[in-house]
Amino acid sequence: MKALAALWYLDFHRARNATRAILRSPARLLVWLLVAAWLAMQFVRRPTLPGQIFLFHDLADPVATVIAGAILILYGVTLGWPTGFGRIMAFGDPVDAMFLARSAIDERLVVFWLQFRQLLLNSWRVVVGVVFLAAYFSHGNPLGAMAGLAGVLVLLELLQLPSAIISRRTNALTYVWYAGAGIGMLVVVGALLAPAPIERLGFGRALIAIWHGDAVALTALYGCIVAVLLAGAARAKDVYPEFYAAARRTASTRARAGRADFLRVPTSAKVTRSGSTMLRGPWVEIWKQLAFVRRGNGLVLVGAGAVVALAFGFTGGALAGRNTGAFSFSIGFTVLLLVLILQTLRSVSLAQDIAKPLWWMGDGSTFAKLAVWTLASSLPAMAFVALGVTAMFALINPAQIALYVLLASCVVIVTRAVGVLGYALTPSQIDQRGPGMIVRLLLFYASMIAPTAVGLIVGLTARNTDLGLVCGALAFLGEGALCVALAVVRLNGRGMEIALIEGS
Amino acid sequence: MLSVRDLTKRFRDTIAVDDLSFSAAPGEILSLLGPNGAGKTTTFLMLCGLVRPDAGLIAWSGTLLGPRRGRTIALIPENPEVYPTLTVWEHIVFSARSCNVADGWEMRANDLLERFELTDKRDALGSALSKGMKQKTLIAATLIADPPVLLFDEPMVGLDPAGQRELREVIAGLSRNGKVVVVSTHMLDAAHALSSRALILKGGRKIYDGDIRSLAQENEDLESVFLRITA
Repeated sequence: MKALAALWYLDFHRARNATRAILRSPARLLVWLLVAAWLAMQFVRRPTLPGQIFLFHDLADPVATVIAGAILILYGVTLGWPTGFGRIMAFGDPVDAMFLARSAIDERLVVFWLQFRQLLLNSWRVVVGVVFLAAYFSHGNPLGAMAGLAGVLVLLELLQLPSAIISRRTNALTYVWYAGAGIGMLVVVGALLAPAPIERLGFGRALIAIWHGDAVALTALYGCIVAVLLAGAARAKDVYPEFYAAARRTASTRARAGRADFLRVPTSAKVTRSGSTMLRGPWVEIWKQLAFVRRGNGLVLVGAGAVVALAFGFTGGALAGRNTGAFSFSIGFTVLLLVLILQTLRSVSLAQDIAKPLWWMGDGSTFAKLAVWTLASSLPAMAFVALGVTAMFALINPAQIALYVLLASCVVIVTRAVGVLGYALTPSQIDQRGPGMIVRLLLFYASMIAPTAVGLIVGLTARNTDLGLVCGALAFLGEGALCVALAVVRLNGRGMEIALIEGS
Repeated sequence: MLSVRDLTKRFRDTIAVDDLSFSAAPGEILSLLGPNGAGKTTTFLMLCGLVRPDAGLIAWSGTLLGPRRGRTIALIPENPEVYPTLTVWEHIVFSARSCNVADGWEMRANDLLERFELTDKRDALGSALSKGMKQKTLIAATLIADPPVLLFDEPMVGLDPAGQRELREVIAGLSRNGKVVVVSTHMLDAAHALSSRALILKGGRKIYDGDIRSLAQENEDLESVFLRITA
C-alpha cells in the first residue's frame, strides 16, 4: 500500500500542479473549458442521433461491421506504430526511470500502475472515440454499444505496455500490431469483394455482438482487459533498462514531433549535392525536409505510406467504378478525412527554430519562413494524399486527377496552417496534446466552410465543375495563408517567449 | 566496497564499454576521465541499472547486485532532469516515500533543503529551476534515500564558478560521510581538486587507474597529460 501511495502521490501532485498552472492562465483555461463544454455537448447529443447518420446506419450489418473493424484497425495501428519503435507514452519521461529505478517499489506494481497511467493519459481518446463512434454502431442499444466501444478502446490502450515489454525481449511481438492490421484489411477487402457474408468469420460475429452490447461479448471483452493487465504486470522483471530506453526515445520523438523534420535524425550521411544547388532563403526548410527523408528512415516510412495510400486509392476507385452511388464516394471521402484528421491532430513545435536568433536573421520575412515551414511539414501527407487520389481517380475519371490532387494538397496545407495558428495561440505542448487537438479539429472543420461555398458558388454560377474545384482549392490556399499571417502577428518579436511557453 | 568486474556493453558493432574492472572504497572519490565517447555515461547507466550490461559483475560489500541495483547506486545525470510539474519539496517527498524511508525523514529533508540553499525554492516547480537548482534538487532527493554509492555525470558542466565550488564541497562532504562517489568530468582541474584517484577510459577500455598526481611528468600540466594519454 505504501508503494501505491507513493505512485499516487507522484501522479496526483503532477496533475494538481499542472491544473493550477492552467487555472492561473485565463487564455489556457478558456481553451480547456471550451473543449470540455463541446465534448460534454457531444456526449449528450451524439448517442441520440443514430438515425440521422447516413453512412453506417443505412448499411446492412456485414458492411457496417467491416467499416467498424477498419476504423478500429486504423486506431490500433496508430497506437501500435509508436510501440513498434519502442515508444511508450506512459513512460515518456526519463525522470520516471531515474526515480523509480532507485525506489523500493516492486517492478510489477510499477507496470500495473503504468498501465493505468497509460489509460488515464489516453482517456480523452477513449472518450472521444466513444462519443463519436457509438452512434455509428448502435442498433437500438446505445449504452451497450458505448460500453463495447469503450472496452475495445481500453483494451487497445492497455495492450501497448505489455506488447512493448514483450517485443523488446523477443524482437517479434510488435509486429503483431501490423500483422493484425494486415489481416483486418484482408477481411475488409474480402468482405467487400467476396459473396460470403462476414458473419461467417468469428471476427465479424464478435464485433457485431460487441457493437450490439451483448452481455456475454462484453463480459468476455472486459475479461480480456483484466487478463492483459495481469499479464503485463506478471511479465515485468528487470524492465527499467527498457523503460529508460523507451523514455529517452519518447522524449526525443516528442521534441521532434511537431517540427517539420519529424522523421528520425540521421546519424551520418553522404553529401550527395554541392551546396550551390541547395534551396536558399526561407526555401531551405524544404531542402531540410527532403534531406531528412532521404538520409533518415524517412524513405521506409514514405514507401510504406505510399503503398497504403495506393491500396486505399485503388480500392476506393474500384468500388466507385462498380457502384456510382454515394456509398463508394463516402468511403473515399472517409479515408481522405481520416488522413486529414490525423494531419490536424499532429502538434506543432517551433521552439527549436524561433528560439534561435539565426532563424530570425535568415533571409525572407517571418511570413515567408513560416509559410514555407508549413508547406515543408505538409509534404509527406501531401504525397500520400496525392498518391491515393491519383490511384482512385485513375479508375474513375483520369481527366480529373490533376484537379483533385490540387484540391487535396491545398486541404492538407490548410490542416498544417491551422496547426501553426493553434500553436501561436496556445504554444504549450500540454495544451497542444490536450484540448489543442480538438481546437485544431474544429478550426479545420470551420476552414472547410468558406472554400466549399466559394467552389459551389463559382461552379454553379459558371456551370463548370472544374472551375469550381480550382476556385475552392485557391480559397483553401488563401485560408492557409491567412492562418499563417495571423500566427506571424502573434509570433513576431516573441520567439524566445513562445519557445519557453511551449516547454511549460 | 564497490567492485566492478569485466563490465562490457556493445551497441550493435560499437563496443561502448570493454571489460572494465575497478573498485572503490567507502569515503573514496573516484574521477572517471576520458574524451567524448569514451564510455563514461554508459558505464554510469549500467552501474545504476538503467542500461543492461552484456557481461560483467557489479557488487557492493561482497554482495552481487542484480537489476535492482539502483537502490544502492544512484546516478545524478549530466542533464539534471526533474519533474517540471513537481515542486522541490514534492521531489524529496516522492523519493522518501518510494524508497520506503523510515519515519522522521521530514526533519532530514528540511536539513537537506537548508544545506543546499533550497529552502526559498521549496515550493518552486521543477520547470522554474535553473540547472544548478535542478541538480541540487536531485541530489537532495537522492540523499534522502541514503544510497551508499553516488555517481555524478559531468556535474560541473553549466555551473557558474560559485556553483562549482559549492558542488565540490557537497561531494567532499558526501565522501566524509562514507559514501563512494564517482565523478565523471572533462574538467581536469576539477578532477584534481576533488579526488586523488583517476580512472581514464578511451574507446570503452580502461587505460589508467591510479593517482592523478603520478600521471604528470616533470613540468607537465594536467591538460597535456590528458591529451598525451588519450591521444
